[in-house]
Amino acid sequence: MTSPVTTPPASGPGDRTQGISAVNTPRRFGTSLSLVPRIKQRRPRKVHRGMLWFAVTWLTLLVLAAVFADVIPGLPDYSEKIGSFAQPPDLSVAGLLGTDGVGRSNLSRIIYGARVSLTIAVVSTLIGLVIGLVVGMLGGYYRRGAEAFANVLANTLSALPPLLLLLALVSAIGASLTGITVALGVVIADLYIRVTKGAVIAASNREYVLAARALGAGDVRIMVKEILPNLIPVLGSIIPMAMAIMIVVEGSLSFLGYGIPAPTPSWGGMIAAGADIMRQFPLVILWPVATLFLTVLSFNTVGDYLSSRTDMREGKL
Amino acid sequence: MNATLRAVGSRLLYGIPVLIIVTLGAAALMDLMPGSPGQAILGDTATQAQVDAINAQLGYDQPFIVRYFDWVVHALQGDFGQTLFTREPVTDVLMRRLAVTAQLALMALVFALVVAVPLAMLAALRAGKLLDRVLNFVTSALLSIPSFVNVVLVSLVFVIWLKWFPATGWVPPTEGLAENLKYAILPALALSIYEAAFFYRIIRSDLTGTLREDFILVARAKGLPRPRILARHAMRPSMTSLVTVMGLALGRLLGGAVIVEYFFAVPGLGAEAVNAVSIKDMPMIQAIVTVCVLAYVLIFIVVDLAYAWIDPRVSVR
Repeated sequence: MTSPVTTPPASGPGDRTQGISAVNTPRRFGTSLSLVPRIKQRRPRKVHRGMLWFAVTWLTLLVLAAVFADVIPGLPDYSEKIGSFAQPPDLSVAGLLGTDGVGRSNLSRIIYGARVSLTIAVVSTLIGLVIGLVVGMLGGYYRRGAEAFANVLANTLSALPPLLLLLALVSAIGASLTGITVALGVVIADLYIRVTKGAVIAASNREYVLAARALGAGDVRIMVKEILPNLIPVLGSIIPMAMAIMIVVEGSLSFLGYGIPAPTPSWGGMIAAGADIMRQFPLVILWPVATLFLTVLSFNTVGDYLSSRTDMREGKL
Repeated sequence: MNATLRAVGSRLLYGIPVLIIVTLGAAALMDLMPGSPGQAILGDTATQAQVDAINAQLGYDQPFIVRYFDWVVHALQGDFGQTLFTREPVTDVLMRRLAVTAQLALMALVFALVVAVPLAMLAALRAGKLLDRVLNFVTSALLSIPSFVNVVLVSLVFVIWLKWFPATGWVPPTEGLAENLKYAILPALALSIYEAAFFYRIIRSDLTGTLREDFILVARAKGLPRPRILARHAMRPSMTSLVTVMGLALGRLLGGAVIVEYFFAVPGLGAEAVNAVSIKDMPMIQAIVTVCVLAYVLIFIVVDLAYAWIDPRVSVR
């Protein structure tokens, strides 16, 4: 290691070039085989900046529009007929995206549909998260019986095609907003159970947990105060993607005719209705398709960004 | 071989509790659904006495746990009962439907692999170049398209604009392969789009990892041509996660093709599942659920065995 005598950049106390900094200094020459064990480089962020900003902007707009749907000036009610069917777009607020197959404003239906989709996505994610956290934590912390229970529950939920399980759950609970939300939360729970359990198993042998135990902390305290905060990065990067899945699955239910009952708009229902008339009016189906696509893409982008920041799931995908 | 057999046996044993919970759960769910099978058969005009008579005749007056054990005893002898309306043996219907779904699933897998593997190889060779970046964007966009949007778009392009394929329907391969393919290609294509994007990302990310390994450097130093390195040295170690993903995909395609089969009116397992749930066809639902769980367990046994075959360092336990 006789590098040319150059004054090292003034960094840190002393001019030590050992440890991490020695490994991290770029090699100027030599083979590509390193003599020191490779330390894991921070993965370059795969999410494009512009994509991320677009995603955040789109989701913010969507949430704002959904929340303030009732007070947006000029926006008709979602069930109000504003003209003849499948009108092309014009420059008024109501007719900005044209009308649907029975003459209702597409823009209004998309915005009110966002209410349904986002509500379902958020609430069902919370339901799944609660189930997953409780079962996964107990399973990962106490192992043995609790872990076997968590495994069997997760495997049972994922052994069935999700849509089939969902159809059965929804027809048992009832195709209402509550029924669909609860059913979705149950179906997605296996994801949270697996992730939580894995992360808890990894965390429960770490020094800080042992230290807390040595200090006399009880199991509940360790789980809530020590392990739970360390699950946030793992779960945080999954949640946006899970929300995208929830939106899609809710749309699929509506598409199959098992979704939110008719007068209430939903994106899946709009797409199903648009598919019937797309031979003559392909434009009608374009709007809900584009909205859904952009929303799912945005959630996935945010999830990708978060997971690249927290360095979970590295390597795959 | 003995160890392999034991590994298969233990995994089969592990599938049993999942199978019991899922079938029991399905029975309980159906019991919770409003309305009885007798009601479903006779319609709304029937009197309560007539409904009760039908229920008693079909054994639906028993508590569900009794019915469940009855079902288990018969199912163990290979008798899944008769469908609710048509009174056909469930096994016959199931096999007919499964053949259709299996054909579509295999076609979709082949389509996806044929597209994904060469593209991933090209992209991995020139990681970070234009093709890689374009494909990265395209596949992440494709992964954000929900299946019900996918079928609509595929149908819009190939049926309405290009007029290459009939919109809906199905002809079994026994009535002419050409005619069968005319109806099968479009659903298989719709199914394969998501899988192709998924496979592409998995293979590309594994391949770029493998290409950085020292043994690739050695192979290059020996002067082996690039295609040979790619095919013989890099592909095999990069295949483990692809095999897992293919297993997952096959499970998803066998049970989860609900949307595609529904939209293209293909008489497969998924379409039958939706139908069975909507008419509360208990014997049919139980049979479909059983098949799905069995497929899930079997696929994962095969995936585990394939691991050991691909990578000799992995031992099956």
